[in-house]
Amino acid sequence: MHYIFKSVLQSLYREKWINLLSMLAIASSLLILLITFLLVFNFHLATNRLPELFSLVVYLKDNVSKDETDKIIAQLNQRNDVAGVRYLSRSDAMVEFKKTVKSAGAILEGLDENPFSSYIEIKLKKDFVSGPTVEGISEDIRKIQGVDEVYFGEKIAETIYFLKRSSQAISIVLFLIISIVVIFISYSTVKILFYRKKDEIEILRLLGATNGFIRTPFILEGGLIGSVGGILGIACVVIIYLLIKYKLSTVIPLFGDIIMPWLIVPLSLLIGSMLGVIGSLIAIGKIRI
Amino acid sequence: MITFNNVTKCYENLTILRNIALQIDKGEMVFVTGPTGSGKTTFLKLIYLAERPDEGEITVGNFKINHLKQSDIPYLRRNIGIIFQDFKLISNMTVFDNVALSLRIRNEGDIKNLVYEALKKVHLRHKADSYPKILSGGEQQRVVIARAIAARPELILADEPTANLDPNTATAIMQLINEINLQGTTVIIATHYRELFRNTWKRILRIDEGNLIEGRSTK
Repeated sequence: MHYIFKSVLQSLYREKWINLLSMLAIASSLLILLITFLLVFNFHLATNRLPELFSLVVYLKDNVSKDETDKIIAQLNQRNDVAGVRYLSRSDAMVEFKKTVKSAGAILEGLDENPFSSYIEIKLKKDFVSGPTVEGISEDIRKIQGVDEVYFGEKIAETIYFLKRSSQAISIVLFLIISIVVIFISYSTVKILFYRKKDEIEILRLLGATNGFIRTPFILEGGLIGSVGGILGIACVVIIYLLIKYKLSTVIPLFGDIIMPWLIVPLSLLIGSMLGVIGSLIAIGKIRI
Repeated sequence: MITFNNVTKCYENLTILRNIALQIDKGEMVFVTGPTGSGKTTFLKLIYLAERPDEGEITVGNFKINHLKQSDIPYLRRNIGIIFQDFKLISNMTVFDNVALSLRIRNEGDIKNLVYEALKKVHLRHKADSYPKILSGGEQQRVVIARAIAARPELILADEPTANLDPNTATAIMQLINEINLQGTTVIIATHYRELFRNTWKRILRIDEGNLIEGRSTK
């Protein structure tokens, strides 16, 4: 074992430039993969949050009593597509308007009475925010006694649904393409690296070395190269993330919301070493391609 | 030590060795000769199982070559020291490490002493830390011999051991191989240089169009 570790370290040192190149190739491949993952992950999070912003507004008839209103609210709460219900009386609606619109005072000036109707705001569960589904839900609600009108942004619901669906499809396709590219780059790099040792392997075989004796140092070497590549890759990603989150976000506040799933740190190390090991296994003929 | 029982070896439609039958005893020194491309190297390759026979049976020591599994080939080769025509030294390893390689493969102890002992025999003790590329052809050939003898194998196979060497170096190399044989190691030398065996009283196996013709050199 002492010889194996010594020969791995010696080999890494002897072929330091090509080894460094392999590490950088794996690191940059992982960097591309991880940045794509971060973009896709954050885009997915953002589109997942969009349905929370969507709501249906149910206007009640003027003559609806307090008891009837409570019944309507209870009825709405029982629905399995409703995530939450909020009732706003006429005065609440006025306060809400004043909070939302800064120039509300000027608009409302001169009006003798409160022009707002009382209404119920309904938040739907994420999976029900799509054009046709919302249309069906609003039709149902319209039939409830005491309900005057149901309003919702049909186009908004459709757009949210489209964005959510397409973000999933785009994420999967993009991630798959980048993953294939990364595997190919890493495989080629490690294959080239070990192809240089083809003669050495042949000599070892002729001298009576067993497969284990020949393969172990190569696999260890591949794993080490891959791991270092993984560390370099993830280090770059963390630096880029911190720069965006804490420096760039001062200019573009949107970037302040970027989230880093820290699980990718050990995962990229694992992927890096796996790429190195798989590359060396292919190169020494354990896996034929 | 080695038995060939009606062995035939073909490459595509060309018969390189035809119906060869022979026995080489322990401690013998045998020259395999014939023109370039006659099948001398193939003959050696059959012994260390770089090639398998198409017909017939070969026995090397306790190994029955025909029935040997791929995973057992390393153990056959550990009993054989091979001197390759093209040296087959690992360029990024020192002379010491190249010689030590055959011992490490065999998981031998006391590697340092065995390597220096082998290097001393080929008069290259002082070159232990050098790399093969800075050595002359003769010196590289001697490193190969040191690697072949370091593990004290029962059998040495030498493929054109003096090719591309000047006459003086060639003579020194042959003296060295002769000494190894005198210590009881079986030696088979493939060569097309008649001068190598002209003045010895050794067994000669001449390959002529696939047939093996037995003979003996004159003293």
